[in-house]
Order: sequence, then structure tokens, then C-alpha cells
Amino acid sequence: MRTSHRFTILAAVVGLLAVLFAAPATARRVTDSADRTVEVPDTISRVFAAGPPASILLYTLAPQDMVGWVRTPHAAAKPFLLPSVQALPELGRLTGRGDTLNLERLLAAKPDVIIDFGTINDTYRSLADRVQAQTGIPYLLIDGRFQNTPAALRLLADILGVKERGEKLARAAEEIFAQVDDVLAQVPQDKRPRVYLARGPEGLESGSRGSINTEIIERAGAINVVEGLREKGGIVNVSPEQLIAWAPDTVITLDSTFRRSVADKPAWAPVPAVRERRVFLAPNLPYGFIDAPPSLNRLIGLTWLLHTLYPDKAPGKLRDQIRTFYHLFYQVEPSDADLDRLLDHMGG
Amino acid sequence: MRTATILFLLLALLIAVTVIASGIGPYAISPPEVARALVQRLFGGTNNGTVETVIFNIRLPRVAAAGIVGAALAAAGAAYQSLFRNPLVSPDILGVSTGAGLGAVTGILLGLPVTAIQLMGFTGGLITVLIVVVIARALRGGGDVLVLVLAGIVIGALAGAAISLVKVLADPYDQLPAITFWLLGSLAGIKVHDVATTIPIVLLGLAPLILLRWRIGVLSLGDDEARALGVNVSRLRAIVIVAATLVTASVVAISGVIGWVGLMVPHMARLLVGPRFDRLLPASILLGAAFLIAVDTLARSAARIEIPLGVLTAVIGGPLFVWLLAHNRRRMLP
Amino acid sequence: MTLLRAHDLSIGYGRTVIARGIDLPIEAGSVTCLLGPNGIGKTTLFKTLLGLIPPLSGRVEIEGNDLASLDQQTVAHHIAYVPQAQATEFSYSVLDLVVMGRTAHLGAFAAPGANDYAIAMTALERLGISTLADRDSTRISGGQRQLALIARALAQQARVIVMDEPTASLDLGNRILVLETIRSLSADNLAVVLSTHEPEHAFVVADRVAILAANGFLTGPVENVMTSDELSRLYRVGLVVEKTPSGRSVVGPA
Repeated sequence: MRTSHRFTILAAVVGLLAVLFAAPATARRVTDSADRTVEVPDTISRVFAAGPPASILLYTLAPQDMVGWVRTPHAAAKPFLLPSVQALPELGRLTGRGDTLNLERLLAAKPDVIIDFGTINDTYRSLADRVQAQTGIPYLLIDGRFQNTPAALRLLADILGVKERGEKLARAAEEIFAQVDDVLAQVPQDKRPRVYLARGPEGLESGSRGSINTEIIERAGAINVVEGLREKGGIVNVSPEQLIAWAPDTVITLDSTFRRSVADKPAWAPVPAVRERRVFLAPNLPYGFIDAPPSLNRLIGLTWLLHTLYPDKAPGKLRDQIRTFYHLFYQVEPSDADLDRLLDHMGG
Repeated sequence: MRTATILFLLLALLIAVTVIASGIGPYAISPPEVARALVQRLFGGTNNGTVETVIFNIRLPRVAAAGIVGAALAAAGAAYQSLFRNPLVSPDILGVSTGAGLGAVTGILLGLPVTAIQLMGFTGGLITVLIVVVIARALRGGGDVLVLVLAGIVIGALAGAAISLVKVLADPYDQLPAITFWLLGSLAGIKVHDVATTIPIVLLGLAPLILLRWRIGVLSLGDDEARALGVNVSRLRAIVIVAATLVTASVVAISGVIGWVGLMVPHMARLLVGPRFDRLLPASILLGAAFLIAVDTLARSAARIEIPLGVLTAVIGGPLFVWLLAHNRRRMLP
Repeated sequence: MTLLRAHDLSIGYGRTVIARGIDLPIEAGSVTCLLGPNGIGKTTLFKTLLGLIPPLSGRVEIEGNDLASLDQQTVAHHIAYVPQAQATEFSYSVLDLVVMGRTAHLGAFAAPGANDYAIAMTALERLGISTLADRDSTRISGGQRQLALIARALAQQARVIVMDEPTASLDLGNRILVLETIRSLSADNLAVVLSTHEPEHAFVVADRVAILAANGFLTGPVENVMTSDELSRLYRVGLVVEKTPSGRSVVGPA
């Protein structure tokens, strides 16, 4: 081959390589839970989670990709999270009830994609499209319904390139659901516990049947005593008299003040749950077992509920199961003292 | 019909409504059981724990609270309508309810216990009116009710904006629902302690209004005429504002914001006893108490879950007001 | 005797002096007419005499006592105010309106009793409107309402009655009615001070006239003060005072 020809070929190869490296990373098209086809970069290393449920989903799957928190975890929660994420900046919430994020700050964080984990409806679809058009950052909606958890894990893991981890977590979630169904198969409908979720320091706020707040309590087979006006419930106010009329045998609360003081409240004395000392404080480190926020953190809540509501039928030991879950999902090893703190006030 | 007769009938109505309301509730208690529980409480004897708890710890305090709140709001509304010479004035004209709302939702935001939230609501209401009065004084020497009203509108708007800010800052899962429910008004969480602390303050505020009822009525003629008739207008105005603010702030602190009662009940009372304040005040107090007891009974027993009281008073009050207006236009509008 | 006296009074608001050097004695059994063009300060003078606003300098004396040293209730024992009749927001009955005049004689916590109502009815009878007692005060004629307000002042049992343009916006019949009532009051040894836009009313009803003009304050018996020259100067237009064949004085353009 003559020298001039070699030069041409070399130049062509160099040019081709230059084009290849200079061009932006090639993109691929993915489909999110809302059937939106979105173009995302091949490699994703910076992800912004638009709300607290998405934060948790992202943290469990790919903590290394997080660019920040919607809300900084409070001090008590930090020991239950990876050290690497504890100091991430607080950026604000992008969707849901109340936006606090400035879009320019979002751009300054240079995320590759934005993910949101929650309700899929037209409102959120249009919000996603708008943010995507405005910022040029791909926006992915993942279906946050509880029973969709394994599928959500698999979908996002595939997009983020952590398929193996996603599969592990999804299997663990399916196992937990299977355990619940196994136990429930042994408990006939009329023996199911009647549960009241007590929110707030006075315990008079609750979630009615079908609300997202009581979702996992109902998934664990319990009967939510609060009948709402609609099928999909919401947060309601309840009078103590109504509560006495409903006569729940179990009360689950998220508020430690309430748990401490309920025995002194004369209006609650006739409630069977109080009489039989079946008022349970749901653990909440690093995230609530029952609620707040409504995300994967509730998986371990299912396990906890199994042991709380059906202690003689729940498989295995609760502490071991918690340890396994925290090791797998949160990638931390809680000590015995940590578990004591976590499970404080368990049981009447 | 003589005023005394009307007042007596209103008192009878109040008693009847109280008795009926005490017998209604989600926990079924038959009238003989109620009577037995009452007798046993008075004269001693064995008791059925749950029935006793429901009646004396839950239902009766709530009925009492509804009566007190209704009476206080109606009295404050009637007094302000005379003071501002306008029958379309509500107790919140100087911003006491909005200020109390701001205090209470701030307490919710800070995660304080319920008694602290109530206290913050109470002081929030008082401080707001204080600011309004100080501003009005600074602007015009306090001699002009129009300046008071304008200052009340401005400060009330500011407090409203601050409440909105608190809503933005609040945790949407935990605090925001609590804030929303508080602002809609409810007596669901009433305890004996709430009633016990509110009664003395309400009585303290109602006392000057009742004692000075004749002169407060003369105020409605206008500052110059009232002065010329021998009334110390600035002192009386200060007393009315303090008294009305006290009673309103103290009941809003335990019940949340409940509208329409203070505006509408005095109108209904005016139809019965005429516009003279010395007759209007006792009629408003009795009618307000009966009205709110009735509405609250509906709020707690019409559905399985609580209907916010503020919503019900508006839904019932609004059309009722229009109906009253339509049938009594001649007597209600000059 | 002198029931009310203004001593070298300056009236106004804040730093604005509206008129100064006012010396005005009000005697029992007299009717004094206050004349002056629009906006000159007649209402301000009345409010100062009633103690509703403070004088800028000088003082007002009530039967020898400085007005500033007395409380509102005591002042009301001596002077009553009849404002121009306006519609109010509240439909008080005429009797209720009149009995409010008794406020000055009631204790702080008291409401009117049978005796007060009796006095109120007497006042209504005195003015010939006792049949209006239970009528809605917002649904009677302007003249009737004005009479009701005068009845209220009578019920107040004050010796001095100050009336702000009591005949304004009344028709001729009501106007004559009110003027005759005023004249009869002076026969009861009360003192009446009224302001008016109609100089002829002064001739009809007054013994004394007070003129508040841009160039100062002037007071004196009617015949002395109400001259063609004085009136022309006051209203800045040529006016002449004439006597009709029946002996009544009228004022017309020159």
C-alpha cells in the first residue's frame, strides 16, 4: 500500500474514532411504567429522585447514583443508612404534594435522569412531560403501587444497569409477599385482626379503607375498622366515640407520644386494643415501617406486621429477618443495640 | 311576643337540643341507659364502664363544647355588628380567627403537643388583634372604625399568607393533613380538660358584654351620637374588642376555625327579638349554642367519619342565610 | 341664666384653625340660629360645643364648669345633640330610638326601666308623634324621623339642645312643623342652638343669631345682626331683607 493511501486510511480511522469519542454517549430508548418512551443515556451515573418514595427506591437499588435527597434524613435515621449517602445535599421535592425544587438547581446537579415513584395518572404524566421538555432531562415514572414493587425494582434496575442487584431485591420482595400469603391462608376471615391506625399525638387521625396510609396493614390481612366514604380512602378525622363503637382489637401508631400516653386517656379505656394492651408503635428507622413515605420501606413493615398480628404463625425470628432485610436493601448491619432501639415498645 | 317569652322559649330549645344531642352518637346508648348513667353519676352506684366513659368523657364534653363555641361566636358577632354598625360583620373582622389559625398551625408545624397548639392558637388570636388595634391607633388615633376594619383586613391577609407558607413548609404526609383538618374546624378531639379551661375565659369575656349590653347597643348609632348621649365611646369600644377577642380566641383554640355562626346567628336572633342589642345578645347566645350543638350532632353522626364542622356550618348556613334574606328582606335590610 | 358659654374659642382639627375668637353665650329660654356658608365650620363648632372634639384654644363652659373637665355622661346631662336624620342600618322602633336618650341617666350596667319609657313616651306626645312609637324608624318619613330625634333629645332632659340643620332635606310641611316645635321648646325654658342654610328661619324661630363667616364670628340679637349688608357680606351675593305685608321678614336677591 502506498504511503498516501495509508495516510488516508489512518486519517479516516482517526476521524471515525474522534467522531465516536466526541459525540455524546449513545442513547437508548426505554419505556417507563406510564408507557412513555424516553431516551436515556447508555450509562447512567447521576439520578435525581423526584420525591421521597423515589429516593428510597433509588437508595436501595443504586445508592452510588444518588445526587441528593429530597429531604435530608434526620439524625436518628443516619446510622441506618450507608455512610456515603448521609452527607448528600438536600435538593427539594419535584412532584407530589408541594414542589419545593427550583429547576435551575436541578440542572446544576446535572442528573442523567429523573425518576419518580408513585401514582401513575394523567396529572403526573403531563408533569413528567413538562419537566422533560423544559430541562431536557429524561423523566421516568415508575408505578409505585405496593404489589408492583418487584416489577418496579426490575424495571428501574434494568434502566440503571444494575440488573443483578435488582433481581436479588425483587426476589426478596416476592418472598415477603409469599410469606404473608402463606400465613393468611392459615387464618380464616373471621379471625382476622381488626386494626386501627392511630396517627398524630391524639391518635384521632387515621387512614380509611383503601388509603395509601393503611395499605400494608390491609395487605397483611387485617381489617381496617375505619370505613371511608370512597373505595380509595384518604386521611380522616375520627371521634373517640366512633372508635369505641368500632372496637378495634389492635391499634398501630406512628407517634411515640401517643403510645406513651394512651393508657392515661380515659376516652380510650373502653377500646379493646387498649384494654388488652395491644397498642403497637411502628418502627421508623431509617424509614417508617407502615407509612411515611409509602415506598419499599414498607416491605419490612409487612414482616413486622406478620409477627405482630399473627405471632404464633409468623415464620422465623423477627430480628433475624430485619437484619437480613437491612443488609440486603439498606446495606447496613444494625447491631443488637440498634435493633433494641428500633423495636422499642414493641407490643402492648 | 314579649322578649322575655322569646328568651324563655330559646332556653327551652337549647335544653331540648342538648338532651337530644346527648342521646345521639355512633356508640348506641338507649335513653334509659343515659338516664341511669346520669343518676348513678349524681347519686353513686355501680356503673357500666363503657357507657359511662362514652357519656361523661366523650359525648357530654363535646356537646358542652359545641354549646360554648356557638354561644361565644354568636355573642362576638352580635357585639361587633353593633360596634361596626354593620350587620354583615363577623367575629373575624379584626383577624382573630386567622391569627389563631396561624398560631395553631405553627404549633402543628413544630410538632408540639395538643395543649401547646391550643395555647398558641389562643395567643395568636390575641396578638393579631393587638397588632391591628395598635396600627389603627397609630394611623388615626383610634377614633375611626373604618381604620380598624382596614387594618383588620390587612393583618388578616398577612396572617392568611403566613398560614399558606406554613402549609408549604409542613411535611405533606404527617403535618399537612393535621393542619388542613384544624383549619376546617372540628370538635372530635374535645376532652373534659378543654371545656374546663375554656369556660372561665368565655365567661370572663361574656360578662362585660352582658353587663354593658345597653350601652353597646347605643354604640350602633355612631360615635358622635353615642358620645352625645353620654357613652364613653373609646373606652367602650376597647372593652368590646377585648371581650369579643377573648371569647373568640379561646373557642377557636379548641375547635379550629368555624365560620358563619358569628355572622348568621345574630341575624336569626334579630328576626326574633329585634335589633336592640340588650335583647339581641342573650338571644344570640342561646340560639348560637343550640345551633352549633345541632350542627355538631350532624357532624359526628351523619356519616361514619367526621364531617368537618366548618364545612357543615357553611353548607347549612349559606343557604339558610339566603332563605332568611329572601323572606325577610324588608326587616333585614334598611 | 347662661347655660352654655364659649369663651374665646378657637375650633379646628390638629393644626388647622377653622375659626377663632368665638364668644357665644347660650341663655335658657333662647333660640340661637347659626348661619354660615357651606364648609365654614358650623358642624365643627357644634362638635366642639358638645365636647365631641377638643377646642384648639379657649374653653366651653357648662353652667360655669369647664367642659374639658367633665366626663361624657355628665356633659350629656346638660347638652343634647340632634343630628341630621339619616337612615341607620338597624330598624329600631321609634320608641327604642327615643328611649336611648335616657342613657345619660342610667348606671353603667343598667337598661331603661318603666320610668324611662314613660319619659320617652311623654317626649313623643310632646311632639305629637306618640302614634309612631312602635313603628320602624327606618320606614317613617324624614320629617317624622327628625321629630323622633328631637324627642330623644327631650327624653335626655338636657337644658341645651344643639341641632345640626334640622330642616335640611325636609319638605315644606315638615319644615314648618319642626320650626314650630323648636319655638315651643324655648317656651319650656330650654335653650336651642340650631344651624341652618335658610336665613329666614332665623327670623321665624330665633332670638339670637350667630354668624360664622370667613372674616370672623359675629353674634347678637336677630334684629341687630340680620341686616341686608351683613347677609350680603356673609353669602357674597347681593341680598336684601324685606318685610312682607303681614310683618314677616324675608330675604331675597337684591
